[in-house]
Amino acid sequence: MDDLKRKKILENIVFLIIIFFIFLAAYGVNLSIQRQGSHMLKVNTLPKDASVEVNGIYDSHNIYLQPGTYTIKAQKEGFLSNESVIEIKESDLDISLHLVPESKEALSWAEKNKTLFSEQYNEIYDIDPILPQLPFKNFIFSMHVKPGTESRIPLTIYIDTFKGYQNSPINKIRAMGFDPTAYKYKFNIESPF
Amino acid sequence: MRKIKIIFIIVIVVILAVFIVFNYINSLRNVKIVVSDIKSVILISKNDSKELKQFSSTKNFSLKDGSYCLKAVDNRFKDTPVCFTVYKEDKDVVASFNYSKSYLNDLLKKERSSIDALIKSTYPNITDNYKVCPGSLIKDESWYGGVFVQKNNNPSDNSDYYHFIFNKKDGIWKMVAKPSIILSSYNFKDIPFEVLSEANKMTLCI
Repeated sequence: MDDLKRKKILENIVFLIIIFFIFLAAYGVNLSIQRQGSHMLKVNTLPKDASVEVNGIYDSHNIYLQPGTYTIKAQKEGFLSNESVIEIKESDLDISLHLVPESKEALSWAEKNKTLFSEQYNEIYDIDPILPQLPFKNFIFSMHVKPGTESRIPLTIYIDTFKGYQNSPINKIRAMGFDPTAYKYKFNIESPF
Repeated sequence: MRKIKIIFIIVIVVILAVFIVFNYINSLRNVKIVVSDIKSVILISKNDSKELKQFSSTKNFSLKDGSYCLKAVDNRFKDTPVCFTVYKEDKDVVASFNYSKSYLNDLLKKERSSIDALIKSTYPNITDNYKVCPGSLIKDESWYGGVFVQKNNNPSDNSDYYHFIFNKKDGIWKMVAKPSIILSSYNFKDIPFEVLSEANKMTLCI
């Protein structure tokens, strides 16, 4: 009798284990089908609890994406949202999206988290990659951005030059690898038109 | 009892298999590719550069998340593919390609007289101080970019050049961007960025 009971209990345990492994295998197969060919994108936001959107759809901070081009946007009430266009190729990717505080509450939060924030806040200046290349000066023209306006969009570039050479700074921006169409300009020479 | 357990396991396996298949089908998005006035279009998977389908009219596809490109098979259009990303939802994609340089030049021949007339009427004395470069159509038959190059008394002096853009609406050409050293996208929000960018690339008269 005892033997029979023990056998039944053992049989039930084996049955449950089989069921458990079937579910586990199904979960694994499902996951591998879903994530086949995809790579993980880790979005680090500041503040950490900012929400993340991928191509306009809310998502988590760790996202599995198929290779392709995506627009990642981070936003939080009181902060200016920040977005970045990324390309997922053949490996996982980490990106950082930092939000500039705008409202009173957000500014006081930034003040309280100064150590963490001020360190990373400087990275905001990296939003526009042309900034490290400015100011620029040579014999015929100079280009600069007014201090304190580095994080403003659009970025306004001030140009001082001579008549006949006004296109040179624009060509220089193009030679630096940027499309000059994307910036605003203030020339020291009035347009005749 | 043992038989019931085996049947139970089989039922679970079948249910899970159906669930996996259903999940896979559910992960495919319905993508409608709208095609008009073009000989044919090739759909390419950007991931592995594989040609998926060539078609000549609007079609629906079941596509996995990822990036895809469309390539025009028509001499009137540029070779540059138009790419789009499918992510978590169905979408409609309009296969819209830019005209090729040679086709735009053909179209410009028909428009040249009205464009020249507009330049003359807007700036009657322009040729006193500027050389008017033969510009070109940009993107399609509705955008024209041109350049005025400042004349100098001394030919060895450097010249400033000013870019401008005309737009054709309801058959009438109109100046939409006044001549400027650089046409910034922030000053001309109604003009497509690529049109501004192309116009800004125009330099001295060739």
